[in-house]
Amino acid sequence: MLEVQNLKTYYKTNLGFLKAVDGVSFFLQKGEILGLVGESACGKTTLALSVVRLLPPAARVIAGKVMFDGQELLSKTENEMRDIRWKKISIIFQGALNSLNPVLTVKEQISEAILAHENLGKQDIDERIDGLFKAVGLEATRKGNFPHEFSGGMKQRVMIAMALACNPKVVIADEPTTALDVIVQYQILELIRSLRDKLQISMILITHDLSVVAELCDKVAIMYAGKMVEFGDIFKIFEKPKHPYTRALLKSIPKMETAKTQLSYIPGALPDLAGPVPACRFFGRCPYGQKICEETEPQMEETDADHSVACHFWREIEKR
Amino acid sequence: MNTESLTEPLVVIKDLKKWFPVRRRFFSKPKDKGEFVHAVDGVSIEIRKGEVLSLVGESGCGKTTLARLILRLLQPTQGVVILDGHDLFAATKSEMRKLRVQMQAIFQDPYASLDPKKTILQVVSEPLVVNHIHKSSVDGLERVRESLIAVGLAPPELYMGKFPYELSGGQRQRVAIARAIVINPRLIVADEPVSMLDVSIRAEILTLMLDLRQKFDLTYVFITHDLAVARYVSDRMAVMYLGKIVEIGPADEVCAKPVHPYTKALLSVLPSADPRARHKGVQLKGEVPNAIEIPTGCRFRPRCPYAFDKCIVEPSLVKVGPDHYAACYLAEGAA
Repeated sequence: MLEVQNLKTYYKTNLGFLKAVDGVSFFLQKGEILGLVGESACGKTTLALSVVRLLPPAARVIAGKVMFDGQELLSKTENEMRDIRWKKISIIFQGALNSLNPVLTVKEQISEAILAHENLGKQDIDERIDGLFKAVGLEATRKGNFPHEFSGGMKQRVMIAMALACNPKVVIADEPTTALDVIVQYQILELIRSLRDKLQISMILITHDLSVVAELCDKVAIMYAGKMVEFGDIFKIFEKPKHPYTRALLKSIPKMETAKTQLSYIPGALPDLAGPVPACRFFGRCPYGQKICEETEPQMEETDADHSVACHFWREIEKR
Repeated sequence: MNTESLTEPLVVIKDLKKWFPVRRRFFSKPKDKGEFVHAVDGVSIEIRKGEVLSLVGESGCGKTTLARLILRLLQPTQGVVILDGHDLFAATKSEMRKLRVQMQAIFQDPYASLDPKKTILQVVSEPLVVNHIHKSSVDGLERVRESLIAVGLAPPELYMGKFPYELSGGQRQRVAIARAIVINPRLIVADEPVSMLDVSIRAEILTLMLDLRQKFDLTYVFITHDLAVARYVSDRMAVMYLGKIVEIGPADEVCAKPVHPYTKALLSVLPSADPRARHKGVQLKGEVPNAIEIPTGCRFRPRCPYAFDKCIVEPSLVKVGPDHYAACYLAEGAA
C-alpha cells in the first residue's frame, strides 16, 4: 500500500543540518494499523509530514522514496500531490483539538475540505457530512455547531470525520488521543478500530504511548533519534523485543496487570541531532554499547519473519 | 516506616468546598443568578504522615483545585484544612509564614514553571529567600548545593550557573523538585509532575520522588490522570468525580478490587501494555457533565450502568474493606 524507502529529511539550521529523519524504511499494508513510536523529537512527525509533503520550509527531503499504489510521491508536482492528499492519504494533525477554526461551523470546515478536492453539489455534501457524522458517532443535527460547542472527544471525532471526508485509503493520525482523558481516549480508540474494520483503511498511528499501540496496532515501528531501530509484528515486538532501546522502553512503563516492580529508566538524553552523532545513535545510553557501535552504523536486519532490528548485538542480547 | 506513623494525619481536610462564580454575560453580576462551578464540592480526607496519596480523575474533576486549596493558594467557599494542628484558613500572616515552609508544590510543566531569566541557583534558592531563611541566593548556596545533589544534579556547580533553557525536560523537573525540597518541607503537592515527560524519563522522576520521600520524610499528594502511574507511586488512591471523592483506599486494593462503578469504568478503559490482553472496556454513556449543574443525587447516576431508584439520594463514603471506602449504594453490602 504505502512504502517508505531510506527516507532522509533534514532541517536547515544556523548550526548546519539537523538530521530529523535519517534513512527510515517501512511499509504499510492494506487494512493495517502501524504504530510509529518514539520519544519527543525522534522524528515521528517529520516522517509523517514528509510522506504527505507538508513539511515546513526549513525542512528538505534529501533522499529516499515514498511509494504509494505504485507511484512515487516525492517526485510529484504540487498539483499532482493535491489530488493525492486527502483523497488518497489524509492526516489528523497533532493538537487536533486546536486545529479547528473557531469562527466557522464544523459543517463549513468539513465541506471546505471536500470542495477542495471534489466537485459536489450542496445536497451531496450535506449527505456526505451526515454519513461521516454517523460513522464517527456524532449526531448529524450538530453539524451546524461551532467548535467551542463540542467537548474534546467530540472535536476529535470531527477531526476524524474530516480526515475521512474524501474516502482516503491511508490515514495518518499524529497523537490522536494524547490530550484526552482515559475514558474518551478509549472511545476514540474503539472508533478508530471499528472504522478500520468497516472501511478497510490503513493507518499510521503516531504516538509516544506504548499502551495505546498495544491496544490498537498490528505492527510497530520504533524510532530513536531519526532512525528506525525496530520494526515488525506487534506480538513479536512486545514479547520478544530485540533492540536495547525497545527493551528499555517497555520496562519503563508501569503496568496494571502485574505486581509492582521497580521501573527502570534510560539514563542520559537524546543526542543533539544537529551535531556529530555516534554511528549507532543509541550508543552512550545503551548498556550493551561497544566500540563497534560508535564506529559502524548497524543496519536493519531481519531476525525472523515480520521482525527486523538495527543492532550489532541483538543475538547476544537475546541470549541474556 | 512503621505503621503507626502512617496512620497519624499530617493534614486533615473537612467538608472542603470551592465554588467559582460564573458570569453568563459580561456585565451581569455573577451572584445574581447564583450560578457556580462546583469545582470541589464537599471533600473530607486525611493525609497521613509519610504517605503518598494520589488523586486521580478526569480533567475537570477538581483535582487541581483541591491541591490549590491544600496549599492555601485559594480561599475555600467552606470547610477547613488543618496542617499539623493549625487551621490554614484561620492562620494569621505570621502564623502562615511558619506553615508555608512546611509545604511545597511541583507543577506539571517544567518548561513553564521555571523562570527563564533566572539561573538554576536563583530558581532553587528562591524559597529560601522569599521565606526569609536566607537573605540572598548566595547565602543559601550550601543548601542549594545539597538539594541539587539530592535530586541527582551533580556536581551542582555544573548546573547552578545555567539557565533553564540549557537543560532537558527531565533535568528541569529535577530542578523543580530541588526547589521544592530546599526548605525541608513536610508536604509536597505534585500536580501531574510526569505527564509532560517522555516515558523513558517518567520512570526516572518517579523513582527519584520515591527515594526522596525516604530520605527527607516527605508526604506527597500526587495528582495524576494516569491510573498506572498512580498505582505505581502511591500508598493510597482517591478517585474524584465532579468535585467529590467517590472511592478511596490502598492503591493496590482500589486497582485490584474497585468498588465504585466509576472506578471500575476508569480501570476497564485503561489501555493495557500487553497486546494479548486487549479487552472490552465499560462504555460509559455521555461525558462528564459540567460542574455548574451537578446532577441531583449520586453525581455519577446519569452515566452509571447500575443506577437504580435509591441513587436519587446522594450516597456517602462507606467502608467496603480494610481502609477502603466507596460512595455507592451497591457497595454497602460488600463490606
